[in-house]
This record gives sequence, structure tokens and C-alpha cells, in this order.
Amino acid sequence: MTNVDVISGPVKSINASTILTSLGMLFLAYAASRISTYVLTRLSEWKFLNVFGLNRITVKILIPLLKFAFYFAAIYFILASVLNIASDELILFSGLLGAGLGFGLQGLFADVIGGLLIVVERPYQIGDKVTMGGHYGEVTDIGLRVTRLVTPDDTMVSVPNSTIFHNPIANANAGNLEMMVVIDLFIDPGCDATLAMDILREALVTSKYVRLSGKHKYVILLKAFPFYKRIRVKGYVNDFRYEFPFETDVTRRAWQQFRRAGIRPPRMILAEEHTYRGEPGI
Amino acid sequence: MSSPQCVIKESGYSPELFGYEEILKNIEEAVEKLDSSARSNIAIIGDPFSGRSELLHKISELCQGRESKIFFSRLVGDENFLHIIEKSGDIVLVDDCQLLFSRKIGGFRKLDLFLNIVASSNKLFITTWNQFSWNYLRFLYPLESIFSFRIELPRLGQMELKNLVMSTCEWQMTFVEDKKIRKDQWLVFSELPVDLTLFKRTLRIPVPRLDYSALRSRFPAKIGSSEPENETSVEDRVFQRLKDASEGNPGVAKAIWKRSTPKAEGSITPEDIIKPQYKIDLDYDQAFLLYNILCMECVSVEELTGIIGHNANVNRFIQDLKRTGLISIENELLSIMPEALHSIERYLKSVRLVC
Repeated sequence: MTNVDVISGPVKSINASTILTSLGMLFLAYAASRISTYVLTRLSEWKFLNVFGLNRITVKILIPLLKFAFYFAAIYFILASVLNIASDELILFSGLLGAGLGFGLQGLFADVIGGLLIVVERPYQIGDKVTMGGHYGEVTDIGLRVTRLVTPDDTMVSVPNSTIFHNPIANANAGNLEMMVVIDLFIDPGCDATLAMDILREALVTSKYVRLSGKHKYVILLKAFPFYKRIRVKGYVNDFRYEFPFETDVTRRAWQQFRRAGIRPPRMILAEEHTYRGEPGI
Repeated sequence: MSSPQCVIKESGYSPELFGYEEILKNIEEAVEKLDSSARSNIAIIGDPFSGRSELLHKISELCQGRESKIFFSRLVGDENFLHIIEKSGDIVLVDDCQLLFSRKIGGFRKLDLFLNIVASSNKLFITTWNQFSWNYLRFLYPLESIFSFRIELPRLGQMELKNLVMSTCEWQMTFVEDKKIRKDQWLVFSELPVDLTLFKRTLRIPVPRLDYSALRSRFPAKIGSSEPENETSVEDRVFQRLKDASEGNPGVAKAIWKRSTPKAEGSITPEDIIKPQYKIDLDYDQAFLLYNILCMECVSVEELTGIIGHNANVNRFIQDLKRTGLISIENELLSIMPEALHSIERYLKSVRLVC
């Protein structure tokens, strides 16, 4: 009589018990990763963290590390202890895996390997502001398969981890809370650009969001274009979450002062003024 | 329009200085070098209530006979202060230089002029600066080259704080042991309030805390010695606690001492020295307003409105801060409460307004 519950073959025994134990292990890994993510996320928002020389990103680095560690520990435990796979069986298992990859799992596999590389190489971490896959936003989660971003307009974007193999990743803050913000203001070419630069400089350094230190310096640049002058200021915001309030604060106060000082925005260039006979407008 | 004038702060530091003798000696040497080519302007940098103004008073005594001009904070707000500097003697003492600027567009004009004079003048400038303002301004101006001799006021030790508070104590103080607490009890419990927003209640959780002075007395005084440290007296434990609570700041120590010693009784126990705990939870604008009060030490509502920019909010923020006991308002001037100094500093560090 053959026992229907037991599949005998290269793998020693797969029965209901081993399947349940394996599922239980995966569930435990899932639960442990969720709990560790919750605890570390809460801890990262603790307001006195930087008193200990830490910031929320340094705490959040641990989230994907732990997540991967839990899942790989669970898989290892299932293979080694539950299924009791010996070395020759492992070769067979690898063959099956290879066949699976060939039949369409290669995308999933590439994402998992990509996730592993993200954890090891850290091109970005949870909390960083990145541009990947054509999207800009804050990394909120690095999972086994996808990285989740929240864009400035509060849209969640899931980008496959394998994106790192074939697309460049731009990381604006690289694990730091401070981030450089570039602000451009355009003025009429007839206005006093030096005065405008002074005003913009003061608007930047007096902003409540600015970060000034030996490492975090600011730069003011002037460039003349045919119909306007561009004043560009580059400065650091003290927490990248204030990126847009910082930009707004500097721009608003600078323009308030520009108006008082008689500095005007560039005049509207009407198409007709620059239209040559028979040619399109500029 | 002239900036609001500021009165000399009542930090309560007595005219007798304790702990700054070495600094005074260094400054005396710098004043002696005035006629030589090695003249270097002096910046005395310290936390609020660290006794900068009192130190400057003492320095003015050293400069007697050198036709010095004392130039205190009440004059810094004056539009004509530059003319006063030009007419002054060869040593110019300027207190509270943080009042020369305001963190707003156009708020650096007076500081620009002042620094130009200091950099180009042959006079010796001895100036005092708020630590937080200095830390902000040094990334905007070459302060370290203009003031090549800088003194950061150190934290005072137990003995210096003891001499300081006892010199101003008007009545005989006796130091007694609290009978309820054993003197060798190194583990004490304090209550931590935890808000349960869901139930609209506050829970008080006992939190263990180490009493370092009691713990220290259990270990040998020197490594290798089998003898335990000589038992510390009650008086020493009182001042050790005062040093721990004030973190060596003389103004804060005086404020805590004043709160801990009721006038009617002439006795104090170590447990009477309690550092007030503040639960600070502010939005970013409020925190920025508090940061400005910390930097300027003494600022008017008008000045703050110019910095923050929203009149209605400023008044509301100020009332909130006053209610929590973080600031005081006197003669329409705002300043932080000395006891709250370190709580405020830690909070502002946590929101990254203070580095």
C-alpha cells in the first residue's frame, strides 16, 4: 500500500506536516519582519534619537536587513531541517529552480537578487529621497521584490528591485537628513543683480529650515540669459522632509524683499514682438 | 527705527566670580599685549546665564586706567552705537553681541558695520556672545579670524557652584539627611508621565534612576585601593546634585537653588535639589521662535514678529510657551527660564534647530 500523504523521491519526505511547518516558518518570518519594521519605524521617529548621535535613517537601515535575514533564515530552516535536503538533492532542487526561472520566474528572481544587492551595497536606504524608474520620492519600504516610494504628491510607487541593474538611481541625500536644495529665481535683466543676490542670500541663511555647518555651505550663482537673469542658490535643508517648505519659504521672502527693493520679474515676452515675417514666434 | 533696547540681564551671578579666574588671567595678558603688534580681539562665548556680562564687568575693572569704554547690552540696540565706539578709548568692551543681528532679511546690517569696524580698528575689542548665536554666525562671517582669541566659558564644578550659591545665601543654611531616603540608596525611582491619548489620561510610570554620588561612594577612591571612598557629607551631596541638575551653569544653578530652598526654613536635604522636568512638544514654527529667544536671550515681541512674520501666531506661540513655563516676559521682553535651559537645548537639538 502506498501512503498518499507521502511523496517519496529525491526529497526525503514531503507530507502534510512538513508543508504546514514550512508555511508556519514563512508566516513567522513574515510576522517577525512586520513587527521589526513597526518597532524600528516607531523608534526612528523618536524625537531624542539625535541626542545619541543617531537619526531616523540610521535606524531604518536595519529594516531591510532584518527583513531579508528573517526570510532567508526561514528558507534555510525549511530546506535544511524540515525538508532535510542532502547535497545531491540540493543539486536536483537547483535544477528545478533553474527550470522555474526559465519558465518565467526570472523576473521575480532578479527582483530578489536586486533586493539583496540593495541591502548589501546600499545605493539607497529607507528614508532617502531618490529618483528611480522615472519617479522621485521618499523610500518608505525595501521589500523582497519591490521598493516603495512616496512621491511629493503622496502617490505610492512600487519600483521593482531589479531596476538597479539597468537604470541609474539618483539619491538626493545618501543616508543623511540634510539635503541640498537648488532654488532658482528669475529677474528682469535691467534690475540690480548684486542686490538681488544679497537678498536671496539673506533669505536662505535666515530660513528656519536651513542647515549651516562646515560641511553644509551655500552657493549663489548668477547667469544672464537673453531675456532674464537667473539667480540660483544652493543650500542645505536641515531635514529633507522640509524640502518644499524650505524652497517656498526662501522664494516667498526673497520676492517680498525684491518688490520692496524694486527688483522685477522678467517681462512677458509676447510672441508677436519677436515674430519675424513668415517665421514662427520665439 | 531703532531696535528695542534690552536691559542688562539679571542672571543672578554675583559680582564675585567663581571658576573664571584662569580666564581673567588670560584676558589680562591679552590686554597687556595691546601696544604690541600681537593684538587680538577677544570673543567670550557662553551659554545663556553662564555669567558673560558679569565676567565683562570684572574685565572692565582690569582695564581701569586704560581709558576703556564699557559698552553694554542696553546700548547695542542703539542706532548710534558705532559713533560711540569710534569715540571710545583704546579698549572697547561690547556685551551681548548677539543683539547686533536679527534672523531676517536685512537683519545683519548693524553686525556687518560692527564687524567691519572691529576688523579695521586699532582698538582692542573684548566682546561677549551667546553660544547658539555664535554657532550660527560663524558660518556666515569669518568670526574666528576677526576674534582670534576666543574663550568658551566652561561648566563650573561642584566647589565653584557651592562658593557661588553660598556667597549669595542670605541666611544660615544647614544640610540635613532626608530621613525617608537612605544615604547609600543608589537606585531611586522617579515618575515619568505617559500620555494615553486614547483614554485621555496620563499614566505615571516609576522609572529607576541611578544616584551617581551614592554609587560613587561604594567604590574605592583610587584604582587598586581596597578602601572605599570617604563617605561624602550631606553638604557635598547637595552640591553634587546641584551640579548635576544645573550642568555647571551658574545662572541655572542659582535658579534651581532658589526653587529648592524655601526662605522660611534654613535647612536643605540632597533630595530638595530637583531639576524641573519640562514636557516640550511644539510645532516647528514654535520651536523656531523658541530657538530665537534662546539665541538672543532677551527679545521683544516686535522683534520676534519681524523674524517669524505672522503677528497673530507669534502672540499665540508666546502664550503657549509661557504657559509651559519655558519663557518669562518682563517689561515686554521675552527670555527663557534658567531652569528650562537644558531641556530647551535638548529639545531644539532633537528638532535639528541646534547642532
